[in-house]
Amino acid sequence: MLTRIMTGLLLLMTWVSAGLAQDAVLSVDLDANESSPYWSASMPLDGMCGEVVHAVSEAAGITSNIQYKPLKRMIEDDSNNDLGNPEFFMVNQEFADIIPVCLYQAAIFYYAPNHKEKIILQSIDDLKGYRVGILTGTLVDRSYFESAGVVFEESYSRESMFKKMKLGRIDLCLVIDLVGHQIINQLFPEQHDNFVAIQLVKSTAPLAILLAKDYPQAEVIGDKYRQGLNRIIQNGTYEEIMRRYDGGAHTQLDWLKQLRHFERLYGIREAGNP
Amino acid sequence: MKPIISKQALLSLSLLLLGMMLISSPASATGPRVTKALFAIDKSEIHTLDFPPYLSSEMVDGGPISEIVNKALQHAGIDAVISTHPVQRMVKYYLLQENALAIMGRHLNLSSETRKDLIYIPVAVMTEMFYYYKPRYPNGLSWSGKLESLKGKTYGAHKGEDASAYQHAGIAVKQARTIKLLKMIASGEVDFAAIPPLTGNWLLSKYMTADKENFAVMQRPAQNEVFYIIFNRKHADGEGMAERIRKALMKMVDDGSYAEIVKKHLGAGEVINLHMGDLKERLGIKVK
Repeated sequence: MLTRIMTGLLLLMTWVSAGLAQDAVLSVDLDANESSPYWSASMPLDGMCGEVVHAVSEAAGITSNIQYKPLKRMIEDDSNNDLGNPEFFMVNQEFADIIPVCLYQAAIFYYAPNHKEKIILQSIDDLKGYRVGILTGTLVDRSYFESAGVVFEESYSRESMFKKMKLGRIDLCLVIDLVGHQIINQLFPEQHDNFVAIQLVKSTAPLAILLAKDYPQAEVIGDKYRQGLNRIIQNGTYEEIMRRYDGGAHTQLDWLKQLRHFERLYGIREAGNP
Repeated sequence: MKPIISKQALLSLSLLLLGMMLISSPASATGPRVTKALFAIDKSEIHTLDFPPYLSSEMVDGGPISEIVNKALQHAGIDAVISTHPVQRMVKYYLLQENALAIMGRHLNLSSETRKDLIYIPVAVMTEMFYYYKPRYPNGLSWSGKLESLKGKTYGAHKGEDASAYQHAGIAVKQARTIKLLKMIASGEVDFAAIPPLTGNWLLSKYMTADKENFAVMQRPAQNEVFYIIFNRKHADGEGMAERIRKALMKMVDDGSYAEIVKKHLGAGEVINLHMGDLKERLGIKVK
């Protein structure tokens, strides 16, 4: 009789502790690179994507701790969890799960008072005749653009590109969309409406939570993050966060369709590790 | 698996790699990379695995294979762009799920059913070398040209690589991606792996700098691997474009412009032959 009671108690304790473990708040460490306004230690709730990650975590019952590190160190570390564009990290690291949570896009900006007519870019030919500012080290297909007659001017900082553009020393600037808007607001807040952004649709890329292959409970955590993301999309929280940062520009991206596309593309869980 | 590489060629490769480390200007990861694909609205895409230094958005003009294919596309009047991806699975996703015009790569391990819908056009023939870890083999590791001489060892095969010859020779096989294979060699999980030397050294310099000097290659070349552009018959333009690109590549080999591009990226001399092999004969076969 005593043995049966003891066995029953033991089973009850095991069941209770298992239940508690299930309900215990998971704490996850995630590395990010300072890249305002997407991820930033100096912005409330870590910037736009940081805020999405915290909202996803809250809906999922997870505490996410975002730590800021240099991008090079994040790429070289092959055992950490990362936040960012998966393509940067997948070459050197295997992941248990990848959950795209935000999107970003590049844009070409111009300063309207320097141009008599509206600039329309539908193909590379439309860039002919303009001096295009880009960041040093980002030009890949150099020969192709040269043979197409496109002239690039490389700069070490985005800020100097916008200053040159306003002075008319270059005609266009190619940068990440929200980064460009942020620079304009910092440098020329009164002139914001004079800067025009042309979205480059093909540049759309995801920003994701990447869980390291050997991270404890990575699959459970991945499932929870995914459920949390779906919850904040359904209850409107996601839309509200995006709108606060981009003023509704994300709606032009067909963002939900794009986010689902990247979920399938990076769907490691269904396909096995790459 | 007869040796096709001389000591002089190996020396050229080593010098070339050193030169590349000094003069290459990889694209920064913090800004949008300025590629042809960025402006490719409504253009067909050719998806491929990032394969530095031959094909990568970190290289000027995307590396030699990218420039060769872009030139061939131009000659053939095909308006398409190359998109690179970090893992093979993504390349297959675009082919199988999104009906892409074409993909590029090697070791793709596509099913025989899928292969019926594909047309393989060779773009480069690459010499691979066996990498091993010197601290595990302080007296060196070599092979006779017959895989049986490596019996009892463990071979690191690329995901999708046909490693049956190794298994038949009594060699255990483990599969992984190239960078992972190098890490497995260092940890002792595998003894050796066949990798194009420029790729192996590029990855070691970028991701395993501190350990790079501990790696060595066996003197005798491992094997030749063909890098293909693979057109999709299910895509409306796939079949016609395959034949046009074959002819364009053939013309580039004949008129020397193919070799010029290799020379621009990798240098002159025997190195050119190491990346062309019997490409001309392979390209001579018409698309069926």
